[in-house]
Amino acid sequence: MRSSVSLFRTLGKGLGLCADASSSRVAQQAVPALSAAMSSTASEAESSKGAHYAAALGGIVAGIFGASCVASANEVGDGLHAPHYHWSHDGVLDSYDHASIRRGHKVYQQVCAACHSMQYLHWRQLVGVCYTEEEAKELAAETEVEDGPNDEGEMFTREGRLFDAFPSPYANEASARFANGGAYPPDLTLISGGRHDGPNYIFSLLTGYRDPPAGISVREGLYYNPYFPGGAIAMPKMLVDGGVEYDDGTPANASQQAKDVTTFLAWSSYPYQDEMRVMGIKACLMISILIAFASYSKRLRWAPIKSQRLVMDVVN
Amino acid sequence: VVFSVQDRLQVSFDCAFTTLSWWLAVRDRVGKMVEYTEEDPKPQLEEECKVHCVREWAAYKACAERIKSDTTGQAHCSGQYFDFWKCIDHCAAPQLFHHLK
Repeated sequence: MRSSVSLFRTLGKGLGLCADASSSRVAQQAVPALSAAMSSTASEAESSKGAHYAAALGGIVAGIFGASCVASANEVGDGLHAPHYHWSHDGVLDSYDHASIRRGHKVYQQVCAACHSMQYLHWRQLVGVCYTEEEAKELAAETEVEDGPNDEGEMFTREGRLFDAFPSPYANEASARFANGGAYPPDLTLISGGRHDGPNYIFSLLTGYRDPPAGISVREGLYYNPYFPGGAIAMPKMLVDGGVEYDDGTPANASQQAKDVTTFLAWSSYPYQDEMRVMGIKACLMISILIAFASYSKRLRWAPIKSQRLVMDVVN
Repeated sequence: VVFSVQDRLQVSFDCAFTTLSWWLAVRDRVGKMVEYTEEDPKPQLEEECKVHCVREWAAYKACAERIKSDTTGQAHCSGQYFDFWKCIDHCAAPQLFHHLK
């Protein structure tokens, strides 16, 4: 059922009968016009039952084409669809841009960590990806971790170490909501995998703060962002040109910061992507060699059977 | 039809000129060293893309005019707004990352 609906949608798009939201507003007059045209040509030919059936069929077909691609009434509720950016790690054989991951971590630390936790990411995971062991140790040591109890039964704070997780800005969700007007800044460790089309969505969201359309206003404390489902997001525009200074001298405009932090979040959500792709190359190579052997072996053993001939002969 | 020497020369020159200008245009764009600027390239790209989205912009403007006289407070132009920004996004997105490191 689903495949036939998408087939109609593809045919409809191909025939120019519909588009998702954009020209359906313009073309919505076209659908009833088309079905009227089909029924009128059918009934002009002959006023018989056949012509009526043809008209009805024409109407149904036009209706299916039209209905399968009418604008979703909930497009604001779903948020503006994020466009596809050309990420350097898009291709099946591409790795992450690790320099970008390093810059992105700096952006996270200086801009996002004030509100967003990444409690499932540990300092040791950064070693060899975007920092050396010494750099990661230094960064961890700048944070404070509550540990304990000690021998006296008391909790104490100590410097962070490589096996600690990233520090959270709030103790728990309730505290986070209280500090942010009831809105919870979600944990970002898996956010890229947790949102549809994660990297494109996150980048569009971060750079997509715009004036609301005519007739829409958001209440005090919320900000308009078309990519956010519903349009009213509690987070203000955080990335500004020059807000962060990069160690490698890259000019830190807002889009650059957004790209880097999105790459960092994409890595965080799927850190083993590079390994998996290398394994994929090895697997494809191995499988193709084995297929070659298997094909030869199969055809060798089937040769006598494939070359059998049966002769039909008369009895007597 | 007999082509004179002048005609043949003219045609050859036109072909050569067209090919040369095409090649120069491609050469200037391929492998260009992009200057990474402190200034965000995205707003500039979106401005340049507005030229390609005039129909959607006009529809949005028309809607905004229409709802000025609305009294219910329910009318809005989100649809036309989305169409316009979708057009801009699809124009600007393929180019943006060429300007970022």
